[in-house]
Amino acid sequence: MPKNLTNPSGKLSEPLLLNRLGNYLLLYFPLRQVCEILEDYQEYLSLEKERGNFERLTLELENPRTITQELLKETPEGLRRFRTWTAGWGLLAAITLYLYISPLRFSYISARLPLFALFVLSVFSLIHGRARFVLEQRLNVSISFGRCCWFSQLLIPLPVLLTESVMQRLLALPAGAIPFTIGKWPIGIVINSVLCLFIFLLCLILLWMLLQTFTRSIRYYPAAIHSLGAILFLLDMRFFLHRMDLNLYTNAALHQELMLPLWLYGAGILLAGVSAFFFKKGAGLWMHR
Amino acid sequence: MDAQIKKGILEMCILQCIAAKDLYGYDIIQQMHVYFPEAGESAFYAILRRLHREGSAMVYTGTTSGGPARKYYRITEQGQTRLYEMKEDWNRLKAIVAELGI
Repeated sequence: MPKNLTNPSGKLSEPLLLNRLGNYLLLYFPLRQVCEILEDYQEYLSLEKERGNFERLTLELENPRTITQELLKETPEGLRRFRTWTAGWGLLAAITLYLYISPLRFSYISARLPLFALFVLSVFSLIHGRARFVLEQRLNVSISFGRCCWFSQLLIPLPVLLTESVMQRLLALPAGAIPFTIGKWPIGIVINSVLCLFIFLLCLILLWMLLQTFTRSIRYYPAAIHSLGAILFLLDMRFFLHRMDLNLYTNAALHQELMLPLWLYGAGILLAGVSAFFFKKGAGLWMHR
Repeated sequence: MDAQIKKGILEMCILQCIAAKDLYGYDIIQQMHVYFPEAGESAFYAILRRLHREGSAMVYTGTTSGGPARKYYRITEQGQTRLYEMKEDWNRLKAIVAELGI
């Protein structure tokens, strides 16, 4: 864990503890109410610090679930808010995902791109992205991406570019020149295995980024979108390779078909970039709403 | 103590506290902790926020000598009426319970 997130004893710092509590509270209470609750805790913490009782409350804050449960006893309407919010945005996310991967999948990229964008937006709302960002700004939580995170993000374009360029080169060869095997393995199995391996690795990165988004900061969300864009690219490429019939395509058409999945990765980069831009520059806009 | 019984009593006690003089959250909680040690800060703060929301208490920011700004709670007229009603109910309840020999 980076040092700026911990105090000298190695425990989470005060803003991070409050941020974690805030993330829990946002599941049940609106932003305004969460800010009020955290302000009360900040005041309480500063006075406990003055009196030297800081440790006890810090220990209590390390268990935000208990605090949230206690608050829910006093304001049970939070549970209703949790259910409606989760059901509404969760349903939208599930529908978009279902439409995207359904057997009757939209074959046109122009239909899949808005579905991808809608899915990203609904998940952002589902995890209270805007409110979480405002909270982080208010609490002045400084989150710096670790080296591993940067490295994983720089690694993501590699499988995308590698797959695209190899496929473009391979399928541009005359039908007779395409090798049937690589070593003793049929070429189809090799390509499928490599693609599956790439997808698996990218899924691990996606899960890691989502975990960071939930537990540390909403600023990891763009990284998760980037990973998702790459996964969708590879899934699309794999789907195309499975159903393609070389006899039906001219070289130019094949070249175009192979370019289409790149739109998904491009959309992933664009959505990640837009959200990262809003996290950086849109603070004022979001803070005053 | 049963949560349902405690909820109403805590509200009445907090109103009684701020009826005597304006207090800030931390002070109220410290006073209440003496009598209700099992209740956490979050429960007290939740009651204070509810009292404010319902108009029984008003909030203003004040500072003590050199200290940070603090949120003070003052009972409102509506709060006085509510406290009066709660005390009436409480006394009636006490009389009933005493009559039953509990």
